[in-house]
Amino acid sequence: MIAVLTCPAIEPLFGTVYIHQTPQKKAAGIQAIDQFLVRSKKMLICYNDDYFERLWCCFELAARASSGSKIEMLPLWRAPVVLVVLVGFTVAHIAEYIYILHAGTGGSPNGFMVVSTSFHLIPVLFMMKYTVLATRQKLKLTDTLRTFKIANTKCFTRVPTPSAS
Amino acid sequence: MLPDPSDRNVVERAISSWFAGGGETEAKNPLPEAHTTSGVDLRAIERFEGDVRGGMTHRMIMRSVGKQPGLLRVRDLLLICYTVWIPGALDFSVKGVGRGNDMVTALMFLVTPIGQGLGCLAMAAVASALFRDRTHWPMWLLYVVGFVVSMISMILVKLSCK
Repeated sequence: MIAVLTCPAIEPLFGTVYIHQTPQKKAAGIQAIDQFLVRSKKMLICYNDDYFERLWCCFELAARASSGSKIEMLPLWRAPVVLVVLVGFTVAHIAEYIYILHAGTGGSPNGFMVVSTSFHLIPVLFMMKYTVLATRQKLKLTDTLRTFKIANTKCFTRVPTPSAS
Repeated sequence: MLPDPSDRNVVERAISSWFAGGGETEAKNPLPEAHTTSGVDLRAIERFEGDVRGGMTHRMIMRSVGKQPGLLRVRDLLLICYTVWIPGALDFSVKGVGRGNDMVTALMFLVTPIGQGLGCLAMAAVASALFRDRTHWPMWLLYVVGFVVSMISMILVKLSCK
């Protein structure tokens, strides 16, 4: 999303926007979907566990990938996790600097390691938690792909919001 | 959001049309094969399912995911580990504890980031093996196993740096 907002050269394509949602125009939009997908430079899959339960998503992904075009899987948790761990490590790093400022040239490497290890513990534990999640998610993805059936997918539509009359 | 059978029919027809020729763009309008009353080509749907289960779609997804255990890629780990460490390590190498202390420099530059990266991958490999055996493991056990694996990886990297 950041790339989309900051780079004017990127023209994003969002399903509910580029396909007209009225029944007559929806079919025409779907017929032209190959033109959108094949001409795109990159397809970014904002992946979550229920991705392959949604028929629209499966179709778009398969329509692009079946022609051998490149796709990029982006698990939704990846960016926040990378950011949080980066911030955590930066804080740990600052703590190391503070130790050095206090200890000066007389500080021992062992003391430094104690401070460093203590402050790294929280981001490391956080990363461990998401490593487990990522492992579980990949196994589930492999399993879902192996047993994929169109009958197991769902199709949703927007619920019209009640308008004030 | 509500389930909508009519929308489902539209998408199934689109899939049917797309995969009628085996998923290739050039062959989208072959002769109809086994149509339902709603105009969905059942063989095309089967081709679509087969493509996701083990065809080109499957290969492209797996290529994008990578071969490493878990969805956290090596380049993500490198991004996490080295973004913070490179300037810090260079700084420590000239004015660290004991001014240019080799041990601290090695710790900052190599042992911690590479050890943590490898530790993360090793932990993912262990967790992957555990989950293949049984889907539900207590989280505390995974933390303990992960911590031990990470520590062993870091010690191995440290020993190999000597």
